[in-house]
Amino acid sequence: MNESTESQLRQTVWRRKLSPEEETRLQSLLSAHPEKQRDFEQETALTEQLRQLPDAPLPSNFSAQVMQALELELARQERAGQAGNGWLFWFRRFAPRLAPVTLALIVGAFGFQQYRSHHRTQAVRSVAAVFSNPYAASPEVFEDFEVIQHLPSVTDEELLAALQ
Amino acid sequence: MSDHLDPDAALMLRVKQGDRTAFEALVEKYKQPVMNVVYRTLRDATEAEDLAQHVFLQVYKSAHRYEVSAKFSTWIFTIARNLCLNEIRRRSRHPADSLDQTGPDDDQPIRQVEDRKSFSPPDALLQGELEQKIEAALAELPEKQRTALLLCREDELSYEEIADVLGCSLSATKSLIHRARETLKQLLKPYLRTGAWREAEK
Repeated sequence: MNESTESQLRQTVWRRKLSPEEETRLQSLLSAHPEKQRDFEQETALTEQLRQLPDAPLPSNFSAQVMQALELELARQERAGQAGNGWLFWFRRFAPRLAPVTLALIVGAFGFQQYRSHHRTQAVRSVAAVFSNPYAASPEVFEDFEVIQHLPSVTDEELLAALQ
Repeated sequence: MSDHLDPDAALMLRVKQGDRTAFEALVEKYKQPVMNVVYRTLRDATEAEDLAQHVFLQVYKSAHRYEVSAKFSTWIFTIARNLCLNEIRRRSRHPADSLDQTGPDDDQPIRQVEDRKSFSPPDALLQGELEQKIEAALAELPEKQRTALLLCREDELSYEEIADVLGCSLSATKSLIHRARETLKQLLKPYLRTGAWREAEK
């Protein structure tokens, strides 16, 4: 009878009554080690007392209460899900249709931005060209501006001849 | 495969599909074992009842995560223990909340005792006193030792499964149970000496 047998028997005693075969093995162990007799008696008694502890109080309608709580919980989740999923539902439904429109808008906005940027660059260049002309700085150049603007359409040569 | 399926696991598979009848069957089967563990951990009947309800709600809500390879009893007791630990932590943060808790030293009996056996009046007194002493001794144990000991009472669970619930090794689990029992034997020594165990057993 080794320690492992004793340990095995002890762990069995912790959970249930020993079978007749196990009881024989225990008696054999105790005859060789009578000092363990009291310990095994106490182990057996403790197991029995633990098993005899009454069940915890439980209302007779416990299952019904659980099912009712479950219904409430599921209803609450459903309501929360519906509210939370409202936007998600519309997004999922319209996203495929909105995608090309959104892309077109983005491309259009980019193109418009490019066009405006190009136009401004051109205007700046024109202004710069005018002010870089040495004649442009002189007020005399614009002396006959109003007269010339009101002339019927003339060619540049005719205008030059007239000015000279 | 399904021929060898644990009946509780089979019910859980149905719960996964949203079968509430299967869920109700599991509630019916496990309500008392779960309540026994929860009640002896929290020591308050009302809180224990609420928490036991939460255990079952959690089972339903987590059904999609349940793996058939895990034994249902191990799974549900793990959920029960985790919720109990959360409640114990909550109490330690808000100690005032548990003022109305029934303590083991109160004058009133811990609860109405429904005896499994019928005892003659003196025996019933002795048995009742013993039960109160055991309940008080259980309450003094560290949480892990107490849970190990309480799960050891459940025939459904092997030592390996108790170890799974506690999240420790098999040898550590056996050591927890051994230490818990040693403490109980120590605390209940006077009754052992007077032979009250044997008297009550008769």
